[in-house]
Parts: sequence; C-alpha cells; structure tokens
Amino acid sequence: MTWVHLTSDRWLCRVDGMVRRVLLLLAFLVIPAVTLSAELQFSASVGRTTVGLDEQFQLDLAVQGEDMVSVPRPVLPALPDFNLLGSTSSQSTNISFINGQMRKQASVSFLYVLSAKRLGRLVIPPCKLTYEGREYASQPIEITVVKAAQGQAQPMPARPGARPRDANVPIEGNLFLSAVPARRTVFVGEPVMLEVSLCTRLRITDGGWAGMPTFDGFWAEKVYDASRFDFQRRTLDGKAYDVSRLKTVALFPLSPGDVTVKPMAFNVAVMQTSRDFFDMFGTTQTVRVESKPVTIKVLPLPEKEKPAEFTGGVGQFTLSAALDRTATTNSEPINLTLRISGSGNVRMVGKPVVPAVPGLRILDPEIKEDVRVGPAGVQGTRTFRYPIIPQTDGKFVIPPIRIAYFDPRAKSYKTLTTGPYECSASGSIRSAPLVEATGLKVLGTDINYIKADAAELVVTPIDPPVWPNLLYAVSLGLVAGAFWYRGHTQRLLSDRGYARKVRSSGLVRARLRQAEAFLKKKDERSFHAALTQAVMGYLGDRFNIETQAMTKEQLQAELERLQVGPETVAAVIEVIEQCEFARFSPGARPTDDPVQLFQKARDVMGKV
Amino acid sequence: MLARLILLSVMALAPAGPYNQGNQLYARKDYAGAARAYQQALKAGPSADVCYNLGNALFKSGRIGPAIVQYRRAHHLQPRDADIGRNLSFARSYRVDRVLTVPGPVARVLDETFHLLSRREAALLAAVSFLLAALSLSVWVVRRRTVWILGTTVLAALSLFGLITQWVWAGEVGAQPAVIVAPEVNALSGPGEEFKQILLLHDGTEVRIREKRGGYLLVQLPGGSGGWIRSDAVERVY
Repeated sequence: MTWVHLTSDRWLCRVDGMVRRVLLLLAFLVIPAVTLSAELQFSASVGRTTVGLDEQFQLDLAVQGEDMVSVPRPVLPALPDFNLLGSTSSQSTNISFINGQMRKQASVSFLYVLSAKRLGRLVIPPCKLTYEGREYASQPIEITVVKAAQGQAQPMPARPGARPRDANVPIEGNLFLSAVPARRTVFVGEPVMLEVSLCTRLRITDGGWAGMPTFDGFWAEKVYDASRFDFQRRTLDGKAYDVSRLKTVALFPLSPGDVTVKPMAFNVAVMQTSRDFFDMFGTTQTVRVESKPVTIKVLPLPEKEKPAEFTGGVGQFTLSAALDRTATTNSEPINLTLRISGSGNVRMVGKPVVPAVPGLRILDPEIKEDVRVGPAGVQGTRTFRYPIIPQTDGKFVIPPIRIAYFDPRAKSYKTLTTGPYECSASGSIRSAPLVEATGLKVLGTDINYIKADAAELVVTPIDPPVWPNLLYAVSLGLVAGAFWYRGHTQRLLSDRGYARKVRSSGLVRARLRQAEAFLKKKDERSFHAALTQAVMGYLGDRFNIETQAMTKEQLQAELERLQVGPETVAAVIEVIEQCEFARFSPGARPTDDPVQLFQKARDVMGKV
Repeated sequence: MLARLILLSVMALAPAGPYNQGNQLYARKDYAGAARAYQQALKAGPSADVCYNLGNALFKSGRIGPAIVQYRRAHHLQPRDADIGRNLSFARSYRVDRVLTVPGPVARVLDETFHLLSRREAALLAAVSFLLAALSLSVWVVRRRTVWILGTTVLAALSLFGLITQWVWAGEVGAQPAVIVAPEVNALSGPGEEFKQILLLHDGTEVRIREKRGGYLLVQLPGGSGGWIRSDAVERVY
C-alpha cells in the first residue's frame, strides 16, 4: 500500500521502486510521530496507484487525533473520471493514562471503493474534512489507469521441479482457475473458506495475479497466499491435473442475500513445445485464466429471540472478565478487562454494554484484537479494556455483564455472563453527590415572581437625606470642645494664676452678694468691710497679686505697674478710700450713700 | 412604636392602593394594565417593591430595556434583595447585544462589598458612626482610657465604609446610566440623522450618557465605544 501523507509530496507516487520503498519507510516513521501532536491528522491513500480500466480499488481516508468527539464524514471531491461503488468506515480508540491524565487517541478510516472510467493518468483531487471549525485537506493522488488489469501482483516463479507436460496439449479444458468455497450457505458473519487453485495439464513456467482479487460484500481474512507453485497430482472429473493452491481466504459475509465472489484473473505462462525438432526449448505463451463466479447464499440472523445483549458475534465464544484492582484512591481509574475468545468473526464482535453504576464513570473501552487465521478457521480474542473512574467514595458493585452471540452450528443465540464485580474507592476528588442521581430536573427558567401586597408603601427618594451632614459639624464641635476642656483642666492644675482668674468671678460674686446682704440689714460697717474685701480680692485674683496686706498706696503703685488705666486706678482708690473712711471714722458719713458706692464698686470691677 | 417613628424619620409612607391593584392585574396576566397601575403607584415616590413589580410587568410584556431600568432603580433602593438581583441578571441575559466586559474576581468582590448597603443606609451609617466616633474620641481626650480609642477606631472604620459605599453609589448615579428602550437604534457619528451610522444598538443595552445636544444624546458602551442616538430611544436609570 502506498501512503500519500499530508507531509509527503506528490512526486512520491512516481519515483521508482527502490526510492519509493525508502520513502515509504520514512513516511511510516513520520506518521506516528505526527499523530502524537494534538492536531487532527487527515490523510488519503489508495490501494494501488496503477489500476486497470473498470477495476476496483480502495481509497482510504484516515482521520487520527486526540479526544475526537465525532468525526464528520469527509467530503469527496467531484470525481468525473471515477465510479464510486461503495463506502464504509471503521473506528478504533486507544486510551492511555499518562501522569493521571487521560489521553484518548482515536482513528477513523473511511473506505471508498472506486473504479476508473478512462485510461491515462487520472488525479483524485484533495478530499476535505471540516472539524471544529478547521478545514483539513488531503494530498491529491495520481492514478495510472492501464488497459489490461496487470495490477502490481508479484510474478510467481515456477518451481524448478515443475513437471513438463505433454507437448501441444490444447489449452482449452486443460488449464483453469478453480475457486471452491467450503460451504455455499452461511449466516451473516459466519466465515466461509474459499480456496483458489490453479489446475493444469500443461507445462507452466510462470504466473501471476492479473490484479488483486477483491471480495465485495465480504470481510476477507487471508489464510494462505502462495509464493510459488506447488503442484500436486489430483484427479478431477476423471482427468489427472496438477493442482497448485494459490490462495485461501476466510470470507465473512456482511449482509444477507446471494453474494457473488467476482471472477479472479491469473496470468499463466505456458510452455508450448515446438513441433520443430531443432527448437529445443519451445515457445512460451501467456494465458489469462479466470475463475467462475461463486455465489454464496447468506442467511440473515434470526430476528426472533435476538437478545438485547447481541453485539454482532457469530461463532463460538467464551467470555472472561477481570478488574485489575478492587480498591482505588484519589480517583485513579480501575480497569475492567473483558475478553471474548473463540472462533468466528472475532473482529466484528462489538463492545458489550457495561451497566451504569451510580458513582462510577465508565469510559469507552480500548479495544485490542489477537486474531489467528489458520486452516481450521478464524480464532482469536477481542479484549475490551474499560477505564472506570470513581466519582464518589464508597463500595460499588458492577452488576453481571452479559454478551450474546449467534452460534451458527446450533442456529440459536447464546448469552454469556460474567461478574458481578466489587470495588471500592476512597479519597475521590469529587465527593459531591451526583445531581443526576437525585432526579432534579430543570424544566425551564423564568423571572422571580412579584412582591406581595402591602398595607402601606415605603417611599424612599433616590437622593440620600441631607440632615446626616449636620452630624459631621456637631461631631467636629464635640471634639473641639473636648480638647478645650482637657486644656482647661490641665491649666487649672498647673497654672495658679489661671486657676485664680477662673475662680475670681465666682468669689467676687459671692463677696458682692455678701455686701449686698449687709446693705439690706443696714449694717454699714460690715457692708464696707465686705465691699473692700470684694474689690481687693478681685484685683488680687485678676492680676495674681497679694492684695490683702497692701496699703492703698502700694495697690495704686502695683496697678500702675500693671498698666491699668489711670481713671480706673483713681476709681478703685476712691472706692477703697470711701470704704475705709466709713469704717474707720465712726459717725462720719461717706460722700456717697452705700447704694451708690456698691454700684460704683461693681462698675470699677467691670472696667478692670 | 419607637421603631416605627425612627423608620419614619428616614423614609416616608404612601398609600398602597394602586400597587395592590397592579398585583391583582399581574396575577391575571394583564401585564400592560399592571404596569400602568405600578406607574401610578410610583407617582407617590420611588419604592423598591413597586419598581421591582413594574420591572416584572414590563419584562413579561417583552420590554426588556424599561424592565432593566426599573430593576436597577429597585436595586439602588434595596441592594440586598435577592429577587431584584436575580431578575436583573435574568433580564440582562435576554438582551441582543452582548458587549459587557466581565469584571475580574477582585473587582467583583469589591463591587459586592460596596453594594451591601443602599445609598441612604450608607449615608446614615457614615454620619451616625462618625458622630459616635467623635463622642468616643472626646471621652478619650478627657479620660485617656485605651478602650475609648479602640471604640473610636472601630466606629471610624465603620464610618469610612459608609462613606466609601456612599461615594461608590454617587459615582454610579453621576455616570448617568441609561438603558436603550427602542427595539433597535442606530448610533450615529454626530447629533443628527445625516451623520454616519457607526453602531447598531438593541433593547436593553446599558450605556452612559456623556453629552446632550438638541434631541440627541452621546452614549458610551462599557467597552468605550459609543455614538449619538435619539434621546427618546434611551431611558435614564436615575
């Protein structure tokens, strides 16, 4: 098969054999490396680049990538020079865990069966695929269409010991290709062995397939391919023939009905002995022989009694399963491996359904095949490895797993059962209960309903109220007042003069009240004494001087020193003089009457 | 009784007749009639419940833009009401234009923190706690006990929170938010029909009003782009 990869060039198809093989090897080395990258790989390839006119060949469009969700079918370009005879697709997945991260490698092959309409060099234009908004295109492929269907089958050399046959035996009836199926009636999926042999009574020197045989409508498994002739004497219809088995295939019918294996063609070089005595070696003649079409009746599988667990297996199978461990921590996956072994269409056995277990996430399986094809038939094992990731902690029971297959010998369905299996998980990353399990369903969304009726509406203007701003002014005044009060009390304690000054007004008021009381009682003597004391005490407190022991002259001098106004000083001295006069000169009347004097003393204190 | 008096000192009460009538019409799915009744109720003054119910009635009538205006007013008055916040975001999800910039986690937490209180609540909290902080400070000045300075700190922080909240709200109101209420309107490059069309805006898109000229307003989208639109195509939120 010639790969034409995206990265390889168009001329790959044209270079000669040796170089091509080297490039082919390189291409195979490159492909897996490229596939590892996250991008999608899209490539196209054909079975052969040289085909015969009207001969079928396969176009394979392969898509590979990680975490592919669903791959759309590629778009084939317009193919005016080809007939599209059919298409099919196959998918395979490979899951691996690297550092706890899941990588899912998937590849999908889309196979198209084409045939060329005209001779010459034809080109299959690029095929296109759109995936997640990106467009991928494959490389165009050039196909050389030749008249005779020579194909690329390898010539088959005659065995040196091939027995020479009698000369000049007519070819007709003495050389044919037989295709014999082991059975002519089978069920869908049940293999039928087809043996292709060359039967001859002539002398064969060489031979080769005229085009690779195709088996439309079947899945073909190669059992045997001859690399050289190996003739054995056999009697057919009373005549002795040399028979060489060329090919044995196991054919798996894909759909019910009468399916015909098309004639296969084989080119044979026949040695004809010359009648001329001197022509020792004779002449060789190339003869094309074709097998007769073989029709096989394919019976459908009975629809009646078809179990739900049937996944396509036809043959005789056994089922075994195992968990790679029964306890896990930190949501590490547990692998459940199901092995379906037996004989039959092993490759077509679909994945069994593992029942859903609440709390376990069962991923799509990774599928492996081990198929041996021998004369006895097709035998092998298909392995499904399901990674199971616990979503919650606890003990889980995986219920029994069932798979059904059709046994063509017994002509009935059989069901295989394995399990149940128990496992436990701890330290799961997501221990939250599963919402799906509770059955809460969101049916739709709407706005929340209106507010209820009210007796009265609360109306709030959009703009905020202004009166709280007053509180800021009040607060500032409060703090200022506190600081003043603190300063005042501190000074009262430390500054005696200040304290006397603060206290003076209260004392003076008390003394004046005392004087006033004496005045009312007509006790003039006490009145004058109290008034003198009030004035002297006031002056002492006001100017922080000791006045009690001072004479009137000393007081006058002190007041002048303190730069009190001369008129005030004179008034003070006058009040004191009048009081002293009234006190110390009994019987003498002061110039002013006591009420006037009291008023004068008050005015004086106010002035100071 | 005392609580009611205190309540009345910061808010007013109005008769609820039209409001209850609107609720009845809404229950009967007469959304247009309910909207008219609620609008009547709003003449007594803004009320969060009335704005919210009016927003519902408008939304049910298919008028997403006016509904968003009412929900935003209701949110301004009662920012902690879960129904209002939910319906506002629900109505927003029905808009045609999706030009909003998604805020980062830090911005979202700050936004939620400073929308815990309404503007009025923030104003009251800021002023009252400022007064109490001043009182506490005054006592400390006179008495010099540590407990009073601690009290001052706490109360001052509370007051600062209220002030910032108030400032955030003031910023939002000052940005002159408005909502497109016409089903579809062209934003032009200048104030007049003859100017080039630069944006196509749809019902419910929230914009800021930057300038007013004649019958046209210069509006700006959260991303920064904007244009001139007819003033009857938008409704101011505040």
